[in-house]
Amino acid sequence: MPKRSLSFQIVWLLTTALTVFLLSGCKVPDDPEGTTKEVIGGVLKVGALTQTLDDVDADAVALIAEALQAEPELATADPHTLFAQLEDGKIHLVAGRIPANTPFAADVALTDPVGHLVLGEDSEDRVLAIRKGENSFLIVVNRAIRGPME
Amino acid sequence: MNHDIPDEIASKLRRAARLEWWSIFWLLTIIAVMYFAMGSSQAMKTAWIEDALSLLPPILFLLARKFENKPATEKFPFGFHRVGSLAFLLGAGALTAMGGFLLYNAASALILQEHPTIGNAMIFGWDVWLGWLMVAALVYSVIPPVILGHMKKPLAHATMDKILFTDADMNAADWKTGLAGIAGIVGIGFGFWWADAAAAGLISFDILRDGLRNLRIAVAELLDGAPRELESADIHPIVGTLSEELRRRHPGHDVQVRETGRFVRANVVPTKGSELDSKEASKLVSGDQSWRLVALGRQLRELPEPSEDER
Repeated sequence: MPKRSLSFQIVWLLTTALTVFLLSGCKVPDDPEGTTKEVIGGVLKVGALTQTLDDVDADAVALIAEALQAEPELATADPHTLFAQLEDGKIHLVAGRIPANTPFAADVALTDPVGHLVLGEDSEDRVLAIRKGENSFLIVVNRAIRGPME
Repeated sequence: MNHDIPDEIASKLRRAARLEWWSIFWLLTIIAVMYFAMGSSQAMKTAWIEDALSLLPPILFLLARKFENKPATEKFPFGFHRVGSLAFLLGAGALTAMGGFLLYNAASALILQEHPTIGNAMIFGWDVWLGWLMVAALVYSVIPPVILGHMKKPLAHATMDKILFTDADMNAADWKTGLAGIAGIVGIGFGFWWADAAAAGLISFDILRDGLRNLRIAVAELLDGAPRELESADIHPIVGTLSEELRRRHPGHDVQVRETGRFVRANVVPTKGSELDSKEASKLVSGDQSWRLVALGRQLRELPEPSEDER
């Protein structure tokens, strides 16, 4: 075994710290920006990309709101405004015929499929968008929408 | 150029070759497992690239073994001992470039505050956070290299093989990569978005350091530097003992020692310098090419006895 190098010590420190965390029973995964805590029992702010959400998207939003015991609050705007608001955490969810291969995929996190979409000649999974990195929220949302897909 | 390598060394080289085949096999399974678990984690991607890059040394070692003992040809009159060193230099260049690139990626992820997203999936009826799957993949990715690394190290020392030693050393240190990756993923789990990029930075720094160290080793040999120790840039003790003994047998001469692959070559040169006088050179090579001939050597098969009036 070589001498204990600096990187070894850093890694060791990190592991020990995380083990302590793990044993103290924190919620894993957690949201870096606390979206789940913010929404639960409060208001679920949804950005709608279409004037009225069609049944598939509306049902998914309703299921998510129910799972979080929150009141859904819809606002319609253009895609760039909504995705920018989502990135800043001003809204919690964007819905409205979003395909899984949306060009916004790099800037947001996409949920599991809520249905299908036919765009031109291609069929794509239909998803919802949430803020990037809010992993606890993503799991709550995925569990809520799983029901109707099965 | 078939040297009489002692049987013991030859059998160790064969054993090392077998271990390298095993390394390639296990690495391929690791690369596959890591690929499917990778997701959008920067640390996982970096660890995966490191695993893919660690295929290079075993392949280079096996290729070098194929070429090393080939007889000299008209085009390569000194044989192919240095094929491994050349390959090693190219591999070190790749490692350095990749390490730099990944370090840049990790730094930019930190500066842009990119929050890594890891979701969940149904696996065998269980709703699992994919982060745990990544941790499992990382744990698996550490075990075979560390075991193989510790098996290869003594063989590298015995056969004075630079590629094998670097490979063994990188393998044996692989647990650091795994642990850093795990810390990154678990960090994401606790809501520390920066843990992932920080871990990726740590891993890529390790790759970069390996690359630079290997570059230094390869360059030292290709520039006809004195033979080095395997684990450091210090001159190997064989240089001192060999030079001393040769000076005793050739009074008034200096000794130059260099290495070609695992082998060592020594030149005995006049103390005044080994360069050929330009007038002498022009006797051998006519016309405008004579300035290019700088040294003339004669290889010995038998050593002269040490002279009585030494030193």
